[in-house]
Amino acid sequence: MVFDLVRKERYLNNTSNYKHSYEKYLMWLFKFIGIALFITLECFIYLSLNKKIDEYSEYGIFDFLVFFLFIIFIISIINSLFISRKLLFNRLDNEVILPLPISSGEIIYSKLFYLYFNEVLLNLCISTPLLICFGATNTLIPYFYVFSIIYPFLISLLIIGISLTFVVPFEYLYNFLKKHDLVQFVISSILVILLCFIYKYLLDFFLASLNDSSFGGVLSSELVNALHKVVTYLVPLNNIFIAIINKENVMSAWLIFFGLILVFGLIGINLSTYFYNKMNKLDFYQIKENKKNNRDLKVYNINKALIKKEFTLLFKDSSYIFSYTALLIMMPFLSYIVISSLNAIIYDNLRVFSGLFPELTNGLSLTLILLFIGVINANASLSISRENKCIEIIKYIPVKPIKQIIFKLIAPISLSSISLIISLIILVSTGVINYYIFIVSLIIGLVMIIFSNVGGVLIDMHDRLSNIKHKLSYLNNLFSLGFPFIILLIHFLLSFIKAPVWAIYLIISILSLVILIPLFININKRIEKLFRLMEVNI
Amino acid sequence: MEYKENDIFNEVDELKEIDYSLVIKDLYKSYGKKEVLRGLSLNVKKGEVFGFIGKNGIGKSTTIDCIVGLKDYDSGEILILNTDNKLNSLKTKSLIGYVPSEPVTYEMMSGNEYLEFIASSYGMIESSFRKNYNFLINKFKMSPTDMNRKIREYSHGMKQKVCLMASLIHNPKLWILDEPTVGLDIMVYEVLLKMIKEFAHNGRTVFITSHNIDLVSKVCDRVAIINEGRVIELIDLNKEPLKRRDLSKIFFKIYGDIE
Repeated sequence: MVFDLVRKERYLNNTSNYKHSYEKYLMWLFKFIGIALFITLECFIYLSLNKKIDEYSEYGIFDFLVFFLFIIFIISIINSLFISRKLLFNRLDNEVILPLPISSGEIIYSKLFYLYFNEVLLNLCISTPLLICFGATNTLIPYFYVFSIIYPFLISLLIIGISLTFVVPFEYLYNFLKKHDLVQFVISSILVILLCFIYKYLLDFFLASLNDSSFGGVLSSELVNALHKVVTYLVPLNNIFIAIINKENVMSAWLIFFGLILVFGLIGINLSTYFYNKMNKLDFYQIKENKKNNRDLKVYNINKALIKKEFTLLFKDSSYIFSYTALLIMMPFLSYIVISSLNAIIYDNLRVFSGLFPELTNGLSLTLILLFIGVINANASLSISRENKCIEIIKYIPVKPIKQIIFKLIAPISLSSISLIISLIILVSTGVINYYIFIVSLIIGLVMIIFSNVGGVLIDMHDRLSNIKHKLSYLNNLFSLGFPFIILLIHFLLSFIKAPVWAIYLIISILSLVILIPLFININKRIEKLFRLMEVNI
Repeated sequence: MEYKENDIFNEVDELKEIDYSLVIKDLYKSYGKKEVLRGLSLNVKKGEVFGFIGKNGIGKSTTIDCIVGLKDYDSGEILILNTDNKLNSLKTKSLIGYVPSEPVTYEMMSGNEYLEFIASSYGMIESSFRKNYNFLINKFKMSPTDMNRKIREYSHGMKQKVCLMASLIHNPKLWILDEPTVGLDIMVYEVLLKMIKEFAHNGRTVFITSHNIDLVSKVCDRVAIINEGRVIELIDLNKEPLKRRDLSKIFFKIYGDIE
């Protein structure tokens, strides 16, 4: 029974929907290639850094290994926390599974098995290659390689123990955020800022490595010594690896390790089992009374009602808050950080190409601005999908399809445009871009926003027709990613043939305006037809 | 869309000249190669409660989707109060109040915000909206506090109540209910039965599909049973009152007993 339940979890968490079996195999092949590439890149970066650290201290490479594995350990705990929350507190799943004659023990153990194998798989892909690299570079005995294979199975026990210990507070936090749109918005904005900083740090790291032709530029003996001090506190990984590699304090290291597994395992399993039963059976999800004062009921003008609904969908739906709204607000910040860093990279390293392409820096800045706005905007451009099940509502209310679609488009187009304009004003006022790029980015950026939103809504409706063979939604992402590079290519070509600067920007602006023309031919009739024919239950 | 003020359960003058609220002629609808409706025809008289029953996957919801305008049909004609729903879809949509089989609402809105949106979509007058709103929240026993909460916090039954309220808020002439009793408690179920009868009493029409034979036999004036994409049995329960009691037997007879 437990294994049947594990299989059920696999089905529940498998979101892929393949029409043909070859698509499934193709996806497996891509996944396999992706994992292989990831392992290669991971090992390459690890070995390159390892080599550099080795120059500073003899124990540096050991510290570095432990530090690297500890980061993976933390990422695995976060990953496990998200998966375990989804597994234990999936309301729909529990509504189906709880009335069945299966003991809650079997249900929880099936979920734990699923979680455990997920973590083992993750660590086999990430941690084991690092350990093997370490063993190979330090010519360790075969016993170490055996340990490299066993390590994911052992560490995953501790990972799920810790994640289960914290899954209940995490669920409370998750529900709290779900109910408080503003807090959710603030937290997602902070997360985006943090990600921006990490991104900037990695970019600077890359910049430094370019300057130094290796990673040595950012690695100093001070950093390696600081790493050594930090690593001594990274229990239990530090102790385990000292025991395995140096054979020191073997007994105490294993005792600490298994002790932690036991403590977190017992606390985690008991807590999660207790709260699984409590939260799912005692109606934890019943919401307390809202004591908000009643406001007067209003009937709005239809245009106002439609626009209000669209902004509600964008600002109050958690799936859009992070993927679109928060990113949109962060775009000025993100584009400033990245483009100013990029300018520095080009100035320091790629000046040699300036002779060939006089507008190199400006061309790349333009492409990056377009890429940012394209990628962020793509998250909101499938305006019909944003309705989810409520497509039924937009189809049965007595409002003209064209009017509904126009108001669907107004919300993301205006938000994305405002974000673009603010970003450009910041970039031009700080001197990161010049006025030419400001105007051209504004024109092409607006064209991109309009094109991807109008095109997105047409594609979205097309994909809901009952008789289509292939869905086209991928075209929208392709456009968002591909169009900036096409602009870059044309820009480079014109720059290469030494066209005057004004001509380069005039040509690419006109070209981008031209792509809007076919989109708007007969658009009213196309929208009416697609709206009428699109199915509600796809 | 021009909105005419009247109460949900008052007699509607403009319907006096009309005999049929809903006419379906030779309706065909297929999904790819699968033909679901094969020449379905039926007439629903003004002021009656019309039941539309059949086993699962037989085309009941597809028929309703075609009437409401959720789905396009291959051929045939649907007239709602003498108006073709393909040629004048906005007018026919404004005449219909629709309750889907699964409650569908904007869950990030509160109950009040959702009803405001629906009322605005139908171009209602504020006074009329408030009047209907107060009437409906009393009928369905929804407190103002509940109505201020986000719909995603509601139980299934409460969501169903909001859908029922939204379907009536704009004073429809034809009330279409697709499996309306799922998730309703017994109190609201009784209220719904009463409302269906009351609604049809003054010249408005109710078109209802349900697996709940008890509901159909209690409230319907006529019942159509659908099989293989057509209406194969039309029973006038007022003329043949004994059939009210035997409706489930007739149902099983048609489908060859329990499969």
